[in-house]
Amino acid sequence: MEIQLSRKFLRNVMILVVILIAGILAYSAYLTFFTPRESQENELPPASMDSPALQALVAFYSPNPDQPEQWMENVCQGMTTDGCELFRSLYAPSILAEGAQGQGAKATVTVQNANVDDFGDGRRIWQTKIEMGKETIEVFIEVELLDTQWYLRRVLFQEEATQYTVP
Amino acid sequence: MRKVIFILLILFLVASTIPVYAQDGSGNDFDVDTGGAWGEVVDANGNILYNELVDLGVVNQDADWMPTIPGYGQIQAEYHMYQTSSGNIVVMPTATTLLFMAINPFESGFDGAASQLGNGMGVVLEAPGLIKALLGGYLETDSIKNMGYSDQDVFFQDVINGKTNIFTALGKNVLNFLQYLIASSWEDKNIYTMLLLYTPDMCNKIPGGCPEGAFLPENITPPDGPCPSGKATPGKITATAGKTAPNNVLVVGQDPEKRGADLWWELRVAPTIYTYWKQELIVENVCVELTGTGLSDCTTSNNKKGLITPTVTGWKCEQYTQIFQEKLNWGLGIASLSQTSRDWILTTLSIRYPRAFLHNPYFSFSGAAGGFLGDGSYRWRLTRDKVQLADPGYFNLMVNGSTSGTPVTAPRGFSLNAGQVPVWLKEVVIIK
Repeated sequence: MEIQLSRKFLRNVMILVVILIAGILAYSAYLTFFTPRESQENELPPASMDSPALQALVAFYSPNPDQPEQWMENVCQGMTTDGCELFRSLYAPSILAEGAQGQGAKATVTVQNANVDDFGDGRRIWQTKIEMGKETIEVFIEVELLDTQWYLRRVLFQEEATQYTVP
Repeated sequence: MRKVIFILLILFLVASTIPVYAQDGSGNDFDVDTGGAWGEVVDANGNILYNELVDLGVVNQDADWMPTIPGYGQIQAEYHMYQTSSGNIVVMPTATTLLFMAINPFESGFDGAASQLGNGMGVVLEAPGLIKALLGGYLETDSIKNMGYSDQDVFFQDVINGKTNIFTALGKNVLNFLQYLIASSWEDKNIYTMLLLYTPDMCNKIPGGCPEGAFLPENITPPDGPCPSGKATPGKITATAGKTAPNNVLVVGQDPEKRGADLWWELRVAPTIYTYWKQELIVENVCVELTGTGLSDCTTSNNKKGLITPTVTGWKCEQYTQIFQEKLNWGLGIASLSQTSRDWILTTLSIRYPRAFLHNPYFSFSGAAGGFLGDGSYRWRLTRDKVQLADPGYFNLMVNGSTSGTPVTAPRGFSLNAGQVPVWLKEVVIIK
């Protein structure tokens, strides 16, 4: 028995195969170039003390009310641009008005969890531990990967952090 | 695209200052009554009357309902406060503070205000609506759904009730949202999202307590005691009357033409003046010591650098007057033969003319119209031609009637002499 295939049918099959191959190639390219976190997890910079984000956090908890501008500048050096703006306008006035506990003392920071939440666009929530003198507190921060380093966007409010602490 | 639509929506909400709606403590919406308490704060177009307000400055206060910075404490609440001439305090929270006030309406005093004034345009003047309007496109609807809410309004109410966390719904947009709130605060004085008004006796309900520099009844007694009560001075009622023709009125019984007299009556009611006093603050330019750096333009009494600042220095009783026009309810023009003439007819004249009697000693006319004059008084004028006066003597012309009264005075009845008309009798005298 001989099966007759029309030329038109063969042409359609060929087009379908080409589209399928192009789709597979495009998806592969997407995975390769546009979703680096899963495939390149090992290549992400570590949450080390060298990161601007943690340097900013140390400065954040080491206020100097005598030189407020210098202190804010130190914090902002490790922050993103919009994070710095928010810090200067919302956080800093209240911290300075509080009498800036821990004045003169340098806080120490350790990262407990560098992937509490992943927003999927280079931003993450980290869980840190801050020691200010005798006081130790748990602080959640939002960081952003810029170029090859993590920068601090903001310190989460206590009320906000409960979503990561309350089961 | 969603961001663009949101920005347009926010601009629409925030930049619109008219129409302005207010809500009293009972929760009822009403158009701004610029004659009421808000009349000292905004004009009919919703513009804030900054020139008539005492600027108490920006006040930063600790507030336990504001969000907490770990290790430091609460973000401070920030308001711009003003005091009106009658002592009411107007609170304008920054947008950031306003959001957390709405989330904590009872603790923050949001619900305790005597009245609230918003920019209308859909900003609902109650906490859930306000939160909703402020959050706008920053909300992640999926987050709300994941939290088990199919109805956003229920979510907002639960936020207020402390049952759920608003930050969870904001998701990764928290920073952008806070930046938006800060940017939309008081960069432009004409832009505001919410004003709260507190009467002086509600000092304890003002967010964070009484602002420093506010002049409140608790900390001062008016030096001269309470102001006098209002006093109404009713307008004077004056009546005039007379005749226009003929020059000499002859009793119609002796006049073959029965000419009679053309008479007129006129009444004027001056406006009622209501004088009242209001307790108002005395605001004087005082040299106040500079607390920070800045330009000084005066020296204080203790030789410190200062800045001339409008400052409340006491109370005064300011006198005001209000004019009320008063018209007639009814009026009568009367011509009545005087008692002397009546007696003369019935005694002296009856000797010469036996059985002399009074023909028609009393006339009463009505039906005149009146109107208000430029000075606020009411003018009523009645004319009657060819009044058939049959009795000789003097006719008293009077006006009887009653005024309408005013909002501060009761109607007044009156009977006023307005003039006199002589009526002549021709008498044959035999000259010997």
